[in-house]
Amino acid sequence: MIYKIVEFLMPIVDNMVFIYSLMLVVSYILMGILAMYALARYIHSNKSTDYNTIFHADSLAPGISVIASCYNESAVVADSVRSLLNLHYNDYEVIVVNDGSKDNTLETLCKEFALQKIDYYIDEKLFTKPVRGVYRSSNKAFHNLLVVDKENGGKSDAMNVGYNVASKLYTVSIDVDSILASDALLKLIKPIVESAEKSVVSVGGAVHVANGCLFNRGVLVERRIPKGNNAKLQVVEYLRAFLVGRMAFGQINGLFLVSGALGIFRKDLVLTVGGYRTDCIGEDMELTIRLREYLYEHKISHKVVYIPEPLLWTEVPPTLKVMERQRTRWTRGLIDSLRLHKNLFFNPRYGVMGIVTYPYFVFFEWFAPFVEVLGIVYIILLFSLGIIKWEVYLFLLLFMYMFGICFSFLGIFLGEMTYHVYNRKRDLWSLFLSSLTEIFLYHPRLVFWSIKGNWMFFRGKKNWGEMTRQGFGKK
Amino acid sequence: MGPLYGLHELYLKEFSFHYRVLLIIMLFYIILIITIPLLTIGVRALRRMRQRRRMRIIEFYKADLFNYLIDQAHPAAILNMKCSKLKKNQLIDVIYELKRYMTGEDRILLLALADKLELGDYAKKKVASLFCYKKVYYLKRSVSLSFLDIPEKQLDKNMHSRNVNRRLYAMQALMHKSPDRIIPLLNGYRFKLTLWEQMNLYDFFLSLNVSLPDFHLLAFSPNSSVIVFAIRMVRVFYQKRGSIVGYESLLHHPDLQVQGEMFRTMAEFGYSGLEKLFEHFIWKYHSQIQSEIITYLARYTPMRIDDLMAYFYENQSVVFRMHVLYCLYNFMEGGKEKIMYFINQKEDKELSVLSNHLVTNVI
Repeated sequence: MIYKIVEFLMPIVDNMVFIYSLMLVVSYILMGILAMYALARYIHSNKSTDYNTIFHADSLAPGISVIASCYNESAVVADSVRSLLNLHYNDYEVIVVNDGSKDNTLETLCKEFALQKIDYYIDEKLFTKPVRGVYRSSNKAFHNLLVVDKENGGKSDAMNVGYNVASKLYTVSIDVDSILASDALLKLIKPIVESAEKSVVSVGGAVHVANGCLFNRGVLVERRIPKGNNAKLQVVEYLRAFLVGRMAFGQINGLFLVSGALGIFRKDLVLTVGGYRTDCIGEDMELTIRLREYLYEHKISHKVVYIPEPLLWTEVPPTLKVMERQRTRWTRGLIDSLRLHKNLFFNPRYGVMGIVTYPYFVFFEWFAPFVEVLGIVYIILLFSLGIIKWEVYLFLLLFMYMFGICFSFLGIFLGEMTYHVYNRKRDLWSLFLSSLTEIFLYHPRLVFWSIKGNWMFFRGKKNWGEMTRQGFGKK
Repeated sequence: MGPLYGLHELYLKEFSFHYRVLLIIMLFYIILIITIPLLTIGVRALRRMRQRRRMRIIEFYKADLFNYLIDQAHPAAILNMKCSKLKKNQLIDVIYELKRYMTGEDRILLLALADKLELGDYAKKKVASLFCYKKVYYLKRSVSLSFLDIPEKQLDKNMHSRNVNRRLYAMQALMHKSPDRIIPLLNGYRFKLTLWEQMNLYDFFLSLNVSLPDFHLLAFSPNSSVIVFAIRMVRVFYQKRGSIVGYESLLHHPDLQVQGEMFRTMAEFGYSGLEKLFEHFIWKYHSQIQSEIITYLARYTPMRIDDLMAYFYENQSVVFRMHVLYCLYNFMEGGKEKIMYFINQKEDKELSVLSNHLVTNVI
């Protein structure tokens, strides 16, 4: 009986797994090629760019509101806001939204920037939780800083308050656990002012890991990789995701996600589509999809662009516990966004986003951990039935292992080829060596967290979970 | 459970095709795994070596250039540069960078030196290169360092490129060659003049030694992005004319940006006698134009406060209402006192809050 079942199922499963793996490999290879092309194009076209032209353009350059939401970020908030106040741009304001922090985030801000509570009228274009107070600095040097203290309502709600307060044409959303490069706004706005036929409505920027780097009063002084293997592998993961994945999707105008950690949006469009959804956990992805969906439905020719320059340095979870919360949240966010916009699935009305990006995210991001686990269970089953020998199992394992390594190596290589994110030779070697260990502990954990995220999502868990910070390394 | 005999062979048979494919890919992986780290480290070493060499050359050139600027007859300076194997690309970069920070005599001397060392010829050759990024790079430097002998045919070709920067710098080079061609060049521009190009052209006009062109001549270009640019430049460089006769058609232009810029410019220049026109138009356009009109009405017409407040009550947009109060406070006689009154009155709470917001945060 078992013999017959296995005999019947084996070729089907084999072929399915083989086709799936082949498609995965082919799509990754295509992504790698596209990313390399996009990177080369970006670097060459910006080789002689003088960003100061935007700085000197006076009233011609559009104004930007930088919105940073924070919740229990007292360890990093001062440095982060300082970096925001040091940005090189003419017409910008910084709006920090304290989302009902339970620690002394607000007190830290008040002390560091001499804030005073003021009367402020907020035009409630987007419905949010009540605002408790608005603060402005008595120090003229911080005239463009506005701190809004509100009741806790989650990141989306805090961002919506920022949108209600923002007065400029464009908004940049950033995480307060991050340090922004001083020329970030100039570089983010460049694709927008440069766009001709298709209007660029949003631009995402590369995010890199701040753990291990040295900062001095909100300014990055030295780029270094973090010490622990877990954090190092997150560095590799970020390089891979931002320099390969996002660049590739940006190249074909299929970007699905402008990261909440760093992205610029046209404010009026975000307001038109109703701002961030507060009932969705992957708010940044959901907003990007909804915005693009709206533009496609109204036949507005547009582009969402991604730039590879290292503009933002963010603190990644230093402990496994915090990382687990982050990763399960990312998975829940992905499923939530896909669920809310299922009409995009293979729908040519939504261009590349519907035909390529959405199916990619369904098959190779959402389903991938399940396929991986099923594959392992299947191999174990065949192995225990004596159908395959351990050599075959090892061969398959080695195949996928090498594939993963190649892709990680490509991320590191592109990091060096483009903006030499890490300058020291030992840092590069260390990253390469860490990549070799990814499959043993790091990757299985990611798969487990991803499945756990699915479980949590289908059980209806929608909370963010506490994110503890260590603070930026000082020099 | 014991082995199921027969299936293993079947599996291997089934698997053999897959196995062969996977094996080929795996060989490819092995090559990548070995070469990528080596390549990365090699690239890094090469980059650092190049950087160091470049820095050394730049320092060497800089020292000579400063000697030359102090005493231009200094024979060693030019001789050094002429005798050594001249790295023209790097020397162009050094002079290009220095020129941005130097003015007057020093700038003229730098350009003269570039001419003596025939850097223009080098740039000209590079502009003819096959690579687009090289063309852009050297076109930009040619414009900045006044290398004017790039053939017009080549510049014209670049003017029709799909690359925005190539077009931009080629246009600037042509304008540099003959400033009187600025207007025909822009009038005949068939691409959308992006904001990036506009910013660069604005910067270029600021640095131009000749007198500014009359941007009014571009106001009726067939290209609406050029009209937008022209109106902006008219405003920024304050090229005000006696009246707006002849320009009324731009208020009805199909491009909303043209309309907006036109209203804004007319409001800022404060042309008299436009009250009727503006009052007629105000609710036909979007809020930005409405705000421009309110600015004009408050600033340049003898409008009464009550009339202005009528506009306040007609539009629910908070941004617009704030703008009305702003204009009332800043441009109208008795406006400040009125705002203080609004703050203290109790009948209209929103008016009180908005007025308070204006005084505490906006003014």
